[in-house]
Amino acid sequence: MTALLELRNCSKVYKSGFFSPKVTVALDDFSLTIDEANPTITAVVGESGSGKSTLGSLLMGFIGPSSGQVFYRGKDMTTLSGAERWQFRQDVQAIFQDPFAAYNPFYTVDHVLTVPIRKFGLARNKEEAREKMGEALRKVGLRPEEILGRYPHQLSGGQRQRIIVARAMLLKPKIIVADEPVSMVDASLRATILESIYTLHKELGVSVLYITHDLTTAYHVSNQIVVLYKGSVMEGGEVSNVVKQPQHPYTRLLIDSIPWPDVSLQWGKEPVIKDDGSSPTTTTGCKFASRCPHVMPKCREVAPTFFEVNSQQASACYLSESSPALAKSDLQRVLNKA
Amino acid sequence: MSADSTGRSGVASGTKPVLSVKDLCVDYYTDAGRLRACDNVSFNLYPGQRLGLVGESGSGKSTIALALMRMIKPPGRISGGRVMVGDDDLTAMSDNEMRSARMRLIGMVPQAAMSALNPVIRIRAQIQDVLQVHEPNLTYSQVQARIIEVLEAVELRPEVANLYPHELSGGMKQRVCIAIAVALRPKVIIADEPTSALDVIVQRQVMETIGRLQREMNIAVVLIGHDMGLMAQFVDHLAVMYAGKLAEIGPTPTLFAKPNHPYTHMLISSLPTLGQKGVFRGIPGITPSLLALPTGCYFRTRCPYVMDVCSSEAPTQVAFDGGHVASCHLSSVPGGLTGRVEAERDAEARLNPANAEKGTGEAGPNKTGGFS
Amino acid sequence: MKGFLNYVRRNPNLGIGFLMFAILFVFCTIGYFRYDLAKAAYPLAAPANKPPSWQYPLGTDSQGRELYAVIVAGTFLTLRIGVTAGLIGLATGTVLGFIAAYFRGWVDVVIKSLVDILLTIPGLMVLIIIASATKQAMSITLLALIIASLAWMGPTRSIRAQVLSLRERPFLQAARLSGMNSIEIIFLELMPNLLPYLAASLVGSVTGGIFASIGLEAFGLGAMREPTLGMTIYWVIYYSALLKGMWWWAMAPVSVIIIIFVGLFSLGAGLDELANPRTRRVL
Repeated sequence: MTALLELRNCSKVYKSGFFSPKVTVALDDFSLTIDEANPTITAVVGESGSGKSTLGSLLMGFIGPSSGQVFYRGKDMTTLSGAERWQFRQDVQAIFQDPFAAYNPFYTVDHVLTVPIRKFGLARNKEEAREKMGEALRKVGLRPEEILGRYPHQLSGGQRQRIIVARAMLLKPKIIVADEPVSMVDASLRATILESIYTLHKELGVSVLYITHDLTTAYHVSNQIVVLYKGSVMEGGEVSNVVKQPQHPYTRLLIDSIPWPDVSLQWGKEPVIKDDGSSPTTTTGCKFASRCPHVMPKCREVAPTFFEVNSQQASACYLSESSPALAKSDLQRVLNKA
Repeated sequence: MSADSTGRSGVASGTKPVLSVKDLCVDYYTDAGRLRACDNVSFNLYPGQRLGLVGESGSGKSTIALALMRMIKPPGRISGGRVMVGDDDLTAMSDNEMRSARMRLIGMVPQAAMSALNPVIRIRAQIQDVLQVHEPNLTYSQVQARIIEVLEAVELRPEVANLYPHELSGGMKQRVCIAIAVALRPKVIIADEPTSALDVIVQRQVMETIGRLQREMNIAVVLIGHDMGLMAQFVDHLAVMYAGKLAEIGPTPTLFAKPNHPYTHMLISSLPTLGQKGVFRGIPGITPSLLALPTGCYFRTRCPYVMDVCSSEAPTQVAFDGGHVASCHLSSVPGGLTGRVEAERDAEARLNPANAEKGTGEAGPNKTGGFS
Repeated sequence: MKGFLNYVRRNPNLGIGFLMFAILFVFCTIGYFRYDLAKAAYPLAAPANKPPSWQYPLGTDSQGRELYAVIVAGTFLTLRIGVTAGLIGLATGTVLGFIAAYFRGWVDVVIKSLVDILLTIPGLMVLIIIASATKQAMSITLLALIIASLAWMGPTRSIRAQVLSLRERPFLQAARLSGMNSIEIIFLELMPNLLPYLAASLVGSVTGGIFASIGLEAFGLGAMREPTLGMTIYWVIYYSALLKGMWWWAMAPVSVIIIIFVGLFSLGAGLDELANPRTRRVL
């Protein structure tokens, strides 16, 4: 069976500067498969600079990999025909981080709904289009009469983001790349938006790539999780396993830094070591070595491969060396068990 | 309460408040009419105390921040009340006096460090500006020494002074802003969502720095935000704003353990914890427009425990033990909010025993459906 | 109208700009109906060297032109040169700027390098050389074209920068995900957002065009027979009007030029604020 979308050993390298280019590896040897038959929600967790947004752009076809390949329905993205590209456009949609910037300030919010309806021929006439828009908006808990005809700045952040979710519902894509969909929305509204994304996944069988820096929401929404640091996967697997028994020191640090809404659960068990810059993204060693409290000499020389801590969790850290090793491209096997 | 990683500690009460806000009102005059973004807000802040000001966007929390700095611009204005820092009445000061009081009495850490720093001026000159304007008698070498001192106070290397803002990471820029805010050793610092643009680990580091400075310099901090998690980790007193009004205020542990306003309760339970996976309890509806506020209690349109009296009468503030004040009609009902929440949880448990077992003991009023 | 007045209160520059042009418009309309411009603005229409009087409100010059008529005709001609040159320059710059910024790659490198190289050449010098070479056949239109030939680099550069800043905005990604192609994105998504900016740039380009035309004409490189504002200044210098005490001859064109420039400048600043409201919010 061919996967709907597959990243195979993808790397993305950026060079800046003309004479002595500064090389940044945004994504390093990354593989991921999204099946049509078995829709999942995959959380990609990382801080800024982890390559998570690069990953999103790759999946949406906005950029190509520097090395490795992206396959859509078994065909290399670079060899797609016009019709296949058009199909890809419809199949892969996005929910954006900034619910304001996703709107063209010149138009009313209707624009983000009417254009794809027209372009993808989703309605035969104006009435049908209006009906479909109304239906999608109601599904995400909005009243169409309060929304249509308004300008983006006249609506609240929560409303704007829900319209984008409604847009995704309308287009019935196969994959949604949600890049930090709630990080700019009030905490009290996050739950509602995440819930509608989840409904989208459940009811329409859409696979969601949930890109975030927030492990708590990732834990609640997703089935499987991939933790990225400076472009490399640190840990991956079933989400409860990873969040509740983190194996990689980086995952532990991330979880320890979450401000829990609980007065008795305090920050600060894991010390935060500042990055001294000794592990650039181009290093051959482990990229987390310069901040790791458990760093060993070999960490700085050769980056560890994955170790299968249990059937549903793999960690790229020598601390888990006693577990069986797993090739980089085989992470999907562990993820699939989630 | 014992000191923790960010150094939160108990407060010596009985001393004189360092920041006293009394019946503060801020109005904005728009084409569509007058709107009250801050409605009779009062609170006291004692030396070394950390107060959190939470609310959704549009709740008036940032308006209060600007009002405390006297930085409300037309068409808005402070239309009533008083803001005292120590013995100085900020609301009575002339614009010139206020200019010298800003940063000296009351400092601010802005939300967007990126736009608060001038992109074409080195960090050194930006800190120098503040020092020279407020303390013109300093010699050149004293100014340079102070710059290094404040940079070190926020854990930045002295060489950072020679860099431009774009050469710094988000966390470092925010640290520079903190350095500028504490450069004149103010009595109060207003931090308006200082970490909303930062990653979790950097957020924790920056908050730890603010906490350490607060302790070392005995500054009082007002932390403004919408993240109850951050509040639980950092502040010792919490004020919850809704539609320009103070819904509830009190010591953080008390508010988390036994909130007396449904909005506080819902804010806390809307946050995901590691308890029930896949249960989200959002607050339905949206904040009412300040131009079309409901009669009676402003929260009644979204409140699950709404009663008849809520639409006819605005609730008054009711004081509980330990400086805990809430404005909710439920306070005069036997059992109060806790009674309602418990009754609801029992009902839920009867309907769905399996789900209740997994619960964290914090069943929310509006269950938006479990999924996992 | 009420909305406009309210806005002007917040953006007084725009109001001043409009006021200046309103004054100019009234002044010229009166002159237009009072004089037969095809005659009165040219030599031998009136007795020479008359100071302002009821009969000749702004006086006459040494060749017997009525200065009021000269100013009315000249304002129109000078604005025409400026607007033509500004429009051509801005249109060229907009097209090139959009192409460079939207498609990037080698097209961008070529356009950007060309602009950067041409911008280092002193414009007025080139204009003087071209204008001297074509002096015999000089006309209003030709002068406008010569000025336009060097007026597109600035707009190219600024439009390119504007498009580059818009290019990474998520709403363009949203448009691509909605199935729009490049042409649609440029015209339906980018262009509308740049309209206020283009309007502000147009004012800038027109100002530049008028400035260049007056400069060239004052050197005597304009259309000698036409009574433009620049040529009038050339004649003022040629006949040493100020030394002869004919202050009115110099005063008329200079005042109108000041009104035009103050008007354009205010209009430009006002539109700039409209296009970029962030300048309003200074901390």
